[in-house]
Amino acid sequence: MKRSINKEVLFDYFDGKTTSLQRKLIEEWLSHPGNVDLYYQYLDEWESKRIQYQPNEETALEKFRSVMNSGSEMSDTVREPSRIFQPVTPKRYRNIRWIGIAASLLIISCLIWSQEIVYRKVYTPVGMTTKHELTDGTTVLLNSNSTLYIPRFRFSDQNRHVKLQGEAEFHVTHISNSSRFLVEMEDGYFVEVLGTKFVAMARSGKKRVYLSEGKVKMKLPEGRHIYMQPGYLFEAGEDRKASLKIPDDPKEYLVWKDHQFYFDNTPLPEVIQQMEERFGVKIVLVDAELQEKRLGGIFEAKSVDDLLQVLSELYQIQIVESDKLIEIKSGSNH
Amino acid sequence: MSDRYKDVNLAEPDLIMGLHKDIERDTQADGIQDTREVDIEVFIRKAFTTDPRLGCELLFRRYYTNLCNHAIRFVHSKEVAEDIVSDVFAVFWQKRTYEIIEISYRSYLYKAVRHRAYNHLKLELENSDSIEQASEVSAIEQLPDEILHYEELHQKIDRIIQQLPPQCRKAYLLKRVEGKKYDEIAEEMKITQKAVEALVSRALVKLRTGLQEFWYMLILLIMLNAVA
Repeated sequence: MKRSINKEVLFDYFDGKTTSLQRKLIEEWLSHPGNVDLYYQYLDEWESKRIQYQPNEETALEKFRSVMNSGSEMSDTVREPSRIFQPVTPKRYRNIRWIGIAASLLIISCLIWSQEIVYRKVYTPVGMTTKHELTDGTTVLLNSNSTLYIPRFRFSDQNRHVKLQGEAEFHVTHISNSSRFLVEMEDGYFVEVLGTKFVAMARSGKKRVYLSEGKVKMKLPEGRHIYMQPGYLFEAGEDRKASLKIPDDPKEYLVWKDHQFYFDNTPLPEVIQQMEERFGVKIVLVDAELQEKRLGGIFEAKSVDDLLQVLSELYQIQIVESDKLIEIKSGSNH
Repeated sequence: MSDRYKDVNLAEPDLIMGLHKDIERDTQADGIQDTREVDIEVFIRKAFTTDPRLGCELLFRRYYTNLCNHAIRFVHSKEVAEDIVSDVFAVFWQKRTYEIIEISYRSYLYKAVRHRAYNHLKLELENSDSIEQASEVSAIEQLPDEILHYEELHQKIDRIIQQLPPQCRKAYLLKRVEGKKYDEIAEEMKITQKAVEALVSRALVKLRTGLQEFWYMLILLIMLNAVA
């Protein structure tokens, strides 16, 4: 019935050459459900006639194929194929179920073993930060209770791929052949950069990246990407909810470099969690009323005791330490 | 209506390529094009029932270039445009979207790409936003007005860029679309790196201010849609 809307009119519309009356007509025409598909069909046809550039379809298709081959989880590892990773992917072992549990165990231990061989593990003990220079010139400041895995062989121009558990500041050197530097965090989160400065954290299921200089591409599970600019903070929780914002005061994400904690009206349970993460201890708040307390300020603490000291000065609390557990109770120590 | 494809061997690459070419030829000759386009959707839909992987691949071959060309109208960067399109396909495969969509594949792909491109642009020009919004690729109905706004958005972007002073436009396009570095552009344009940076940021400011009204319109439309 709406013969007034044909391809010519729509093409003119896509070109931005229609009157507002015509727009009104198109809008009405679009409210008939079947026409939406037709609209996109014409749009696609219009694009075909106004090709602005030729992307490299073959390369992209290859990548898409490997996404399809990688199964439903985590497309992202495949996007930037690291040669070193290949022996670790147990694809060709998948079919031989009949070998049974014994064989699986063997394979698993082999995988762990090869991971140990392929990656050099750098761990910063509690209460310290350590600085590492990689062969490409990149420097990494590794926070307390954090681990960095660096390829043992061939950490080269082609393969700048490290893994992080914990927190670290990266100062990535830009190298001439535009090779990317990839920081893998747990659960399929990656930071991809050319040359830049940022702080990345992956602890207790949470991820955080704060960018100080340059530009990075965050790769998220399910093939999503986010480009970040200086001053941006990326956060993802255990529930995989991600957010991007510009913090007013980035100090919070940087003070660890000076062995400090930053709290701003922070609930005590969160304070405790940060202490647990940094010092690798287990702390329990025994009394419910302690959960309500909040803490503000910047505190220097090289050991868990330094901060417990602060807490005991601020609150009426009793601290019971055993080998495995620190309990904080209400009441006085005396 | 697609019976003639019944006994076609779907795995035959020559045939698929041949079909692809047919479509290209047809897009040049107007007229019979409509029926042909319906046919490719039907054909691909059929491929999905037997082999989703092949279906995805066919879709990719058919739409990748066009979708990148569409996305770049919004984001002005080849790299970003290609990432957006690849992401859309990855999600399409991983979430098995092809099993549930009721609209045509083409409509879905265009909608998803536009949605992502829009979010990218918004995130880049505005300073803060939650990404959750960006992740929700709408398979949901869009209001006609909302669909049209995307067109008006890329036209507006184009107009803003066209109206830039020539030097400013050149620096912006080299930086954004070609993804060149400041020092390379400085050399090419025979000006200092600082000057290039100033030109590019001036272009971005123009875009930001020029597009302000659009954000509000689109957000409003999306919200209205969510309520409806």
